[in-house]
Amino acid sequence: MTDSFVSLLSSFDWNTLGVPIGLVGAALAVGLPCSGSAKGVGRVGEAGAGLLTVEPAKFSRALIFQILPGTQGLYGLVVWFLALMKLGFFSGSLVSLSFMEGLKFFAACMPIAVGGFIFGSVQGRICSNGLAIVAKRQGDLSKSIIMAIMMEFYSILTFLATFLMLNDF
Amino acid sequence: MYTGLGLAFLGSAIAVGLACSGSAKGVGIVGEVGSNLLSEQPERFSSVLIYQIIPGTQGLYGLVAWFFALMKLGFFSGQLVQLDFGQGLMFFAACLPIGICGFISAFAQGKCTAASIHMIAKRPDQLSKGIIMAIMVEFYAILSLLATFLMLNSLDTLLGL
Repeated sequence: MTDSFVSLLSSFDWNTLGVPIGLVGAALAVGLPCSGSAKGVGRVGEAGAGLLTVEPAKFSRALIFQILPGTQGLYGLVVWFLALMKLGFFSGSLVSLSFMEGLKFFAACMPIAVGGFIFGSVQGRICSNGLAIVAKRQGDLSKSIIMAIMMEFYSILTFLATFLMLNDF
Repeated sequence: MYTGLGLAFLGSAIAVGLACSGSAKGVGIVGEVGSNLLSEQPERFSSVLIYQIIPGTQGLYGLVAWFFALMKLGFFSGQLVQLDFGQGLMFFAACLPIGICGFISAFAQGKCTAASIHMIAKRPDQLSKGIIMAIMVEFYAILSLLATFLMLNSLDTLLGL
């Protein structure tokens, strides 16, 4: 049993796994940021419902804040699209990557996958607290947007890192 | 010889299982909050039901992805395709986005919708705004379904199945 397993492992052509591992990276690059954005947008929606109970006229402001944590998911989608293009999905034939190149591809997708998931939900927290400011002080909308944009900067950095690494392939 | 196919089936099972779990959690939360509202205002039942349906869509997306994956694997044509381990991993990867995002976004949407039910308890005329805020979350589930669908759609021609 063990012998057959070892012989199976030693005869296995690891280089057939290059493109599949790259594709796993691409799938995570869209799935995780979308999840993070969904968490963030949902959280702002909760706070927005609370605000609308008291002041229904502030719906447009609630909507502006709800859009802000949504960008991470779009970054993820762009990365996914780029990754699939690099893997040859849209040109009709897959590229060939060795196992190590596949791992590199996977690693290139990770910054936006991990960062998008975390930053999406964290930005949702910032924006839901920003709504609390807006509820009390009408004029301070831009201040809370600026605080959310500070967070956005780091997701743009992870997007940039992924983009530059993927561009090499 | 079946390891690739097994991995592909595992992926499709994750797509439907996780997405349905998330939907069940979301719909359940809205149901809990909704029954609180109904104990005070029984005439709001139709509004509660509309809100309860909204987090349920992710499970349907997962089901669509699962069905599509099984179709690509030849489950319904009576002849399963032959996949090596790497090709199976590609099918697994293609099913991941709707599995992950379906689970998390349905739960987030359920919480968002539950908060909206608190809102319509006080302001019944704001029903549509609550729906709009929930639909913003829906967008991300649709994006991940799109990703899964596009990947599954081109996989079989790319792999020459």
